Amino acid sequence: MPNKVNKVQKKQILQALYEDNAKLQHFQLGKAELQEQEVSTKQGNVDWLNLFLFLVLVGGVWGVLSYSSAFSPGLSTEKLAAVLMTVAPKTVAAEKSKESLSYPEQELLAENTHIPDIEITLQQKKESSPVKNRWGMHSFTTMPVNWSRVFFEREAGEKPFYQYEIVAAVRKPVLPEIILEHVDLDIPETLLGLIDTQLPLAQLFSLQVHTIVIDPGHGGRDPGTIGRRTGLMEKEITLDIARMLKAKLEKNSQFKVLLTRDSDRSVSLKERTEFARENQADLFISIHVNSLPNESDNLVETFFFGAYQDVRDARLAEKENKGSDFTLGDFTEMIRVLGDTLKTQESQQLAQFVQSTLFFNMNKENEKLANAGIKTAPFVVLLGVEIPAILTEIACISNNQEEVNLSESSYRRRIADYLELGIRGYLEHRASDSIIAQGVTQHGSYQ
Amino acid sequence: MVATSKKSKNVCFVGIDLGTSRSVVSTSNGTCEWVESYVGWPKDFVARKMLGKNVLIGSEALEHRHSLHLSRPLANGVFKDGTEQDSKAVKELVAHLLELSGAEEGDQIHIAVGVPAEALKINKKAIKDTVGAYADSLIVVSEPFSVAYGLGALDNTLIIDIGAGTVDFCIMHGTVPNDEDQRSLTTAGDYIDEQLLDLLQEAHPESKFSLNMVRNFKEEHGFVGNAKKKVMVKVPVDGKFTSINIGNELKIACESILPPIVETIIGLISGFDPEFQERIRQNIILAGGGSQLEGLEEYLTDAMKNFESCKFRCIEDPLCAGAMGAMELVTDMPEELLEALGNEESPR
Repeated sequence: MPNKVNKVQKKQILQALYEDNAKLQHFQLGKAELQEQEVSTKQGNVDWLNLFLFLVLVGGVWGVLSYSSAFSPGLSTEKLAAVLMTVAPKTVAAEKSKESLSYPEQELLAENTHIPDIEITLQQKKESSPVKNRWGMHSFTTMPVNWSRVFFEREAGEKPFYQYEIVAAVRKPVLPEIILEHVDLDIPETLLGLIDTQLPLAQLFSLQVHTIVIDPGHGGRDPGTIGRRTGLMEKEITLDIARMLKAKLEKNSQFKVLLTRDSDRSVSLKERTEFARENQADLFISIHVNSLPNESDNLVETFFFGAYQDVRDARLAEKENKGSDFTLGDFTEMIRVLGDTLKTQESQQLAQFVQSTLFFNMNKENEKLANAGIKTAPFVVLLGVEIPAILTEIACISNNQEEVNLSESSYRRRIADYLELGIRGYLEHRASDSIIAQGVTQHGSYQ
Repeated sequence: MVATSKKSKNVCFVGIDLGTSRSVVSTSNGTCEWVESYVGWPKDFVARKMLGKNVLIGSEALEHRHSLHLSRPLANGVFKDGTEQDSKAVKELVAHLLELSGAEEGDQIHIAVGVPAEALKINKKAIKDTVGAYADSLIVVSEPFSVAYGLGALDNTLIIDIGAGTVDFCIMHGTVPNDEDQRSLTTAGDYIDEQLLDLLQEAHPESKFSLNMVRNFKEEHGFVGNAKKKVMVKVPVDGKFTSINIGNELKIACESILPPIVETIIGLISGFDPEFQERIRQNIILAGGGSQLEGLEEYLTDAMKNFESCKFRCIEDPLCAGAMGAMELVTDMPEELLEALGNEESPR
């Protein structure tokens, strides 16, 4: 069989290879130019909008999260930290009265007070008489200026104990995702009614997670959104992060982690969801990169299936649904899935953990990053699977600085780290013995 | 200077295959040298004094791993974590490979470096930035493509390069392959090692195994196919060396990467121009260290029977083929194009 080429063909091959490499050179130049531009922008302008937002933020820190604690036999420090991480990712730091705290409280304090955006104040209160060992949310009040007030109370212990009060500010957009912790099943209906709580069914039936499917958005002929300056493509970023995330999740754990695509190829949305079904996946996480009309905007947001909240979300869903080969009949069947309470509950909670962890950590290195929160939107890829499924928009490539960041492997690795933390946080939360009830959520506002 | 070129006595053309397990360098005088892809730095002043070096590369690093901060900086053919340390380790590795190539201070060096078939542009850029520091000009090229170029098999051929980190596929049809012509699987040689380690630990809980030991077992005895082979190896049990038969576990581990390879072959060929599919089926070339698994050609031929009859052949020098092909490629590249790809910041 002939498999040799003639001299002319060989010359053409070398020319084509040269062109590929020349593009790679330009890729590098584009980034350097971009960095230079960023530096000159920072030197030349005062960011009045962010200065204003900062002043509003400082002025607005006055919500109170109060919780009383003692020796806590039924509630781990990790879970307690998870609660605080979930409800208070945007507060301001302080602490006092470390003395006479029991070990878990000290640990909790140490874990949280290093976070610059959390204010936690512990104050010793008078000794209380022992009552039932139970955690519960006591009251819930919305406060003005984007901040909310939440009050937790703990009834605890057989031994005499000290009560402590944690005071923290809570930002409104994440406030509704409050997790209510109970160490026993005796949950007063009045308490549940107070916050319109539902018990997650997966917790109730102790359903386990064995297989996680990660879906790197776009691929092959569909590049997704493309960086304006460097030509960096969404399909490249999502695949790279998905691969890293897979490796991280597989390390030291029993999960089977699968990718809907492990290479740069076109995979339809239907094929992605079928892949999850065929492999009997228990969780589905779709990774995407956002692009916004305004270059200065930069946000992270996480979706689970539902009606869209605003026109921007609808347009985003339209964009991400491009290439779907679902039929109308498929949709009718899938609408049935929409009523699946378990999926919705779990998707919502998974979205909350991933979004909180992602934003909380990314915000530490980029103060301008906005938290668009968890949202519902009609993404086909989320509707097509009957398991907890989320779509996370990890960053905005339309933002110049973010485009530079995303071109760095170490930055993408950190994003994979944060996604892993969010997923593990959710899984650990589910694995806990206690029943965790979650307040009904609506959606974070984009600030 | 060992490496010379037909274009100029002071010009050195170098092909590099940066592999997860082994890295290979080839120069235009026909030499081919390889080194294990490990880089280590002494843990403390005691280790430094004992080793007498600031950095150790390859098998020497592996040998003294307990005294070193050891790095295996490449995973799946690209930088593993994208950290400073990985970048530093790759730089040390490349510097060592250039030393092995015989290139000297002041030489004009043109390098072609192989990367996995589906390496992302950002991965290629990272390799380019790191290796480029040593080169007057640098070409980044898909590994199976460089193998094909070295063999002159540039038309109607499917190249399968089975490495440690990736299995790379590339259909050659007389031009530079595009994305649709290439695939990479990440279940490759390292995956076999992990499987083998798990299987052996389960079958012989009383014995101690390490990843390095099982890698050596695989490289020395690895096989696939129907044959039931007795493979006796010596392993420590309670500090005493004992012979055990690992034939069954070895076969299972080695065969674990083959189903996705078969699927990918079918997927790639069936997606190609139907008029040329038969020619591709009769020209499937197996390269890379993994192609040395005993019985591989027969296994794949048999597995493909249900699809269509295919003809596989292993190349003679699977370890050097990628680097040699890359070297030939950069040697053939017209001078003006090399100049256009020139690195102005090259220290040389």
